[in-house]
Amino acid sequence: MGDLNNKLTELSRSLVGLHVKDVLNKNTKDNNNSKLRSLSDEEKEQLRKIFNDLQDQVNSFVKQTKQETEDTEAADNQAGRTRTTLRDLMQKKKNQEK
Amino acid sequence: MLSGNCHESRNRVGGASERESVCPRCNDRGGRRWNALDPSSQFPFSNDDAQVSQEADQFSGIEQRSREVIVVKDSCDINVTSTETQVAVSLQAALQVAIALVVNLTIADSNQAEKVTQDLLQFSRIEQVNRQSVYIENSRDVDIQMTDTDIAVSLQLMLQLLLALLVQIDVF
Repeated sequence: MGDLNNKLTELSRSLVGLHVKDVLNKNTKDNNNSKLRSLSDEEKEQLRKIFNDLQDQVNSFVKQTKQETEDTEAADNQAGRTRTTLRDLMQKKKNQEK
Repeated sequence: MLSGNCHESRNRVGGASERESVCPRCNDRGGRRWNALDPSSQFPFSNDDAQVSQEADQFSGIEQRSREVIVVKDSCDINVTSTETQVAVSLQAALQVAIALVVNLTIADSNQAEKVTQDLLQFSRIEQVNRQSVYIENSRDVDIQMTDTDIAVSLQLMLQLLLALLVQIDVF
């Protein structure tokens, strides 16, 4: 499952990369004067830093969400709690009255 | 004149005595309506015959988080756990701003930059908006867990978009 997840992530990354390239090409080739501005090394460094910060925060959030879901499921299993809907309870009561 | 609560009007029906327990609206002959705040009130479909709560404090609260509303009314022992929706929304906004910033830095023409930004963000936008309301009334011992799984997917997609953009402009 982990391997499949990695493959899907890689696939998603390639597709997104292709789409971004396509969008940039479409919007810059019409007007010959409009081309991508070159960034200075300092600007590039700043952008790298911003990206790394955002990546850390997103990964931390995703990990936390996943952990909370797993904790809840583990707690439910431990308590031996079974899901009982209102419909189930009503049906059970009807059967008892019979 | 019947009030909104059908069991309150029971005593006024057809001149019946105060002990009349047939409700004209729902034909309930039980006599007692379930009341979450009454410690001796037993839930009709409860498995536990000896259900008695000694801590039936009245609690009414309204909490609004971004696009979600949780209303708790006339209930007790309600436990609401939610993941950080506000954080998720802030992260989403930060990613959108970062993408727009990078595009504007690299494309001089502002109209073109705007169009590129919209094209990119439209691609990544997940249309399913998590706009849910939870309304709890006259309930006891309820656990609610709200998670943000959908927004996690959106965040990861936008991160990939930003990375791909940065690769195109030779930052990475």
